Amino acid sequence: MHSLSLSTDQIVYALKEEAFLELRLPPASTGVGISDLRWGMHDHPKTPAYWAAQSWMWGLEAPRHYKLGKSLEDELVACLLGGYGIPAEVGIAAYERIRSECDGRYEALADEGFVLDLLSRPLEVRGRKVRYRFARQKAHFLASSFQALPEIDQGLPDRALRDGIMTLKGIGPKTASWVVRNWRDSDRVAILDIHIVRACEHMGLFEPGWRVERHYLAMEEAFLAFAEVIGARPSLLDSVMWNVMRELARQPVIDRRLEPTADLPLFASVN
Amino acid sequence: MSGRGPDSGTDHNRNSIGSGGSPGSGSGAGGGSDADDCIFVQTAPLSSPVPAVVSGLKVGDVLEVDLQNTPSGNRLVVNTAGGQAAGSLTHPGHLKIIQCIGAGHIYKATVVQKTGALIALRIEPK
Repeated sequence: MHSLSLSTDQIVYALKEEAFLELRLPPASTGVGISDLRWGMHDHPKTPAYWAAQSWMWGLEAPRHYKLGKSLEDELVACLLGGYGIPAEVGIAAYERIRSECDGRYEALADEGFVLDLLSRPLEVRGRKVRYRFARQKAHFLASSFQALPEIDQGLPDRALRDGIMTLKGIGPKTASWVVRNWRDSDRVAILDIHIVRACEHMGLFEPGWRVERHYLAMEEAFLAFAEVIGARPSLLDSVMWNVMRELARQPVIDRRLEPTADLPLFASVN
Repeated sequence: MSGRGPDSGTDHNRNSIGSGGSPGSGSGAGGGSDADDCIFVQTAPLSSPVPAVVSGLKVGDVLEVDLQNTPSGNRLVVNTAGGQAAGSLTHPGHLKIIQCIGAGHIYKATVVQKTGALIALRIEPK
């Protein structure tokens, strides 16, 4: 079933209210315009066509699904409390508690003792009591951030706002970009966590040796350029990649016989 | 970012799309593969429909949902009872199905709509 479709346009279908919608993508063997990278099949995970198709479908169904709060302050709390070593549901539970307790009075979050008290009490997650692992550290970062936040002009353009948020204690480019993307639906930033990096590395979008610690801006530019050539909104593509890559990492390897024609190399020339 | 502990990690929490389900594609990606999580009904279009096979399908036909390895990950395919490939599934809920098949669940796909060569399927546990 693949040999025919490798050289013809790919048509991706979605259902919306019982109507078929379609997205036409270039043939799988066509280059995307970045290095030797091909579009690949839209139903094969991690190909450019797959990311284009998934971004389009998720955009139809829930275009702003990544939003966590209703204000910059909400997003700052949510993103700071998430991150490395914090299971998603624990971060969300901690965020919900803080949002509920401060009830819009964000100035209260400048009080480290107040925040620490909120984070130190057990959280309820799926009917179980759990502790927030980094209560002391995150309380310090959160209080420091809310002490300094009034100094940041919230009307700045997206990237300048991201740079401003990066001056807050405990916040680097990834978290700052996450806040700005969520708050502004920004297409000017990229949230380069391990899932996004792996997806981009799979397609050869990054130079060998690039590391987010030292080459964040160059990697961000590469991600944004890729989004543009496949016609996806970066804000959506980033979230789709994150969700998909996380799911793929959880999936068991299941032994199935490959169809002989299913193995289209992602790159036009393989040395 | 280097040395700034909380920002140098490998994971961050974000909502998963479609959790709780939405019209058109049923439950979305995300979540685990607990037994209850794998009992759902999704409606999705057949991707990459194979004309020669699809032309013979009619509303009410029951197809099989299966996994196929590809070099970049699992692909969800739809076959006739006779083993002919009819197409694939790529809707936002497809990752959930892959996860559940990996956990031992079996799904069937019933043709619920046919518009020319376009097929809508209802996917549910077998």
